[in-house]
Amino acid sequence: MVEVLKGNLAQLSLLDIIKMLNAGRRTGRLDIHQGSKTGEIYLQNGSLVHAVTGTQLGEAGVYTLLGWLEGEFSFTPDIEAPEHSISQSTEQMLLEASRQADQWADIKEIISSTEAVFNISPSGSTNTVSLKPIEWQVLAQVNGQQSIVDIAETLELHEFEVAKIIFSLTTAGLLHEVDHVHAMTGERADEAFFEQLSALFTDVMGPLGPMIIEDEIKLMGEEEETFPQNKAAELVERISLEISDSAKRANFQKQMVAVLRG
Amino acid sequence: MNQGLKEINELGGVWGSFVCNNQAKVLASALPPSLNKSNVENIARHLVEVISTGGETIQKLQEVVIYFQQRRLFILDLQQAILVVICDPGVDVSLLRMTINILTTSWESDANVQKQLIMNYEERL
Repeated sequence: MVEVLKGNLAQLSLLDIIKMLNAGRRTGRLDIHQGSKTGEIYLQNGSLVHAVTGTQLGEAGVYTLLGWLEGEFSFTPDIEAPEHSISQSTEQMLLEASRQADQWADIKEIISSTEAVFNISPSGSTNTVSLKPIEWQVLAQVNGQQSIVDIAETLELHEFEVAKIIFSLTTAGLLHEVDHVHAMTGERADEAFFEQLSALFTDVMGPLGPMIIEDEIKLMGEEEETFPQNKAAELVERISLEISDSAKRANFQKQMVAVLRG
Repeated sequence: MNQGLKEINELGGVWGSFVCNNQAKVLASALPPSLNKSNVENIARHLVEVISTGGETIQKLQEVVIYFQQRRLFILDLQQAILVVICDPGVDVSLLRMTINILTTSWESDANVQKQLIMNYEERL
């Protein structure tokens, strides 16, 4: 089985990839990864036939995945969908997705990413604000710690829907974005962590070790100098998957888990 | 096996863990006292069913995560048994997954654990 297409969503949006596969009438499976989250979209002769991510299936799954602005994708051709969960026509879905993508462009002016964390603005709004029940539910989840992804998961809504509500609440002056890197731990991964990671990984993988770490940091959309502490375990897990020997992998993880747990 | 489960429980956000065989018999557990044996075995029975049904339809099903509003259930297929970790939604998933991998890899070469698993081995429900 040959992967014909592989890349990063930061460079090529999922919408563009699907449009391309649709135009080429391709059949196969698109795998999408964002951190520990994964999703699958199946196409048959260019038409969207099935999608799944977390608990979301079909159209809901596609729209959630289209909201992932970061992460990696790969397309494997000639894989049949295990089921058909999409009833809407692909043209209709691509039209709706394009509309959402335009809205995303506006939303991104205010919301840096779906990992962004918001808090209640102490000054509030100067105007009277009326809220719909769904907006109130989202507002009730905003606590300076939960990201848009977390809120969407808790309320079982699409990330796009939550981002749209947060966007309108922010423009109304009710919310403000907090530094998402510092929201959970207030820390960045320190130099000592990277030194130990590099030394231990080089022991197992040889001189290519530091380059693999560097690539993985980039794939996570981060830089070493500003790498958030709360993603350190994810980085270790991701690079450890490069170690094919399971005993060596467990040993590397054991040493790094000890470092992470201080 | 109990010591290993205690190590998992030391992770922030982990509420408890247990290992049961393929007939939902609990072989080891480190759970809060609010969960009694029959409750745990009832949960275990459903989870074994999930793993075995999934295994029939999805190849190489190794890990299942069930999302509840207040809890996450991580279920790992050990072939002769299943390991279940109950945690908060905010748990560091990568740290948890690596801790489980370290533990289960060490179990593979632990004669006592293997003996316990083999002695309690039964076909799936």
